[in-house]
Amino acid sequence: MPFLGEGFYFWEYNLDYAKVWGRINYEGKFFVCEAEIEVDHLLDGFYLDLAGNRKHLVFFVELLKEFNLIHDEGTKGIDLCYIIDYMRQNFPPDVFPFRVIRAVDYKNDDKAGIRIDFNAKKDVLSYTILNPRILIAYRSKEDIVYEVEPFITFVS
Amino acid sequence: MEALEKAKLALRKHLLENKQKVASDLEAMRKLSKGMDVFSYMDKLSDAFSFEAITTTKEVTYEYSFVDMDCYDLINAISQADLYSPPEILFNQKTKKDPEIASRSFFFNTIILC
Repeated sequence: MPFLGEGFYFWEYNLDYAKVWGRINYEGKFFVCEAEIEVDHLLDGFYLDLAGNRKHLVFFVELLKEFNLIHDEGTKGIDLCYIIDYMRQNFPPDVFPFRVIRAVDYKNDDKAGIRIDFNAKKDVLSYTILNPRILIAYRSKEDIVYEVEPFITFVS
Repeated sequence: MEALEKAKLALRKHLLENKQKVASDLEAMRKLSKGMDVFSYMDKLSDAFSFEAITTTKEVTYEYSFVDMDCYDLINAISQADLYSPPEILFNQKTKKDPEIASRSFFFNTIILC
């Protein structure tokens, strides 16, 4: 099961990682297709931004905490992809209406990333990362609105 | 009411009405799960920007035919695209005919004038 459940995925402005993904997951036999897409972020209940919208993040965590009502463990230990798919397929549509989800993908590796400190204070480790790896998942192809239709960017 | 608020209420209602079923489903999903749960994801979001992406691996080029490409609607889009055709050129049949001047005499006159 992929990151955010079954669906259609884009890497956001990240051709380099698309190539890596192809090499790792498709043994080098892949195409990278580039497209410009538009997400209707104003349509209520359509788009869930877990990468850049704190309101959405807080809401989503609160939503998952609701599961503790029926079990102490709640969603602890359950992968995100299963939870999202489960809510979509087994619950009423109002519970999880979101058709597009944006999230950050990461590897648990401290050495990874273009990481830069905010200031020179030695006692406070405060930094930012300049190359977030962001993915956008559409539940169905019909929801994708293309500004520019997909075209092949890279063959490898 | 916003969708976010509606979602929370709808979820609470559904959970309370289907407590046993959902609890057993959660347990099943817990067994399937291999990685981080969602709260670990949230906690570590600030570390979520990895960079192993850029590599110097040698690239190998494969030649695929168009039918092999798994691109959303790409082939249809190409085949349905309007082919460019030049605008129709209408020749005006009533154009006044230029006076017939023999090229030899024209150049001769020009040379004389110079």
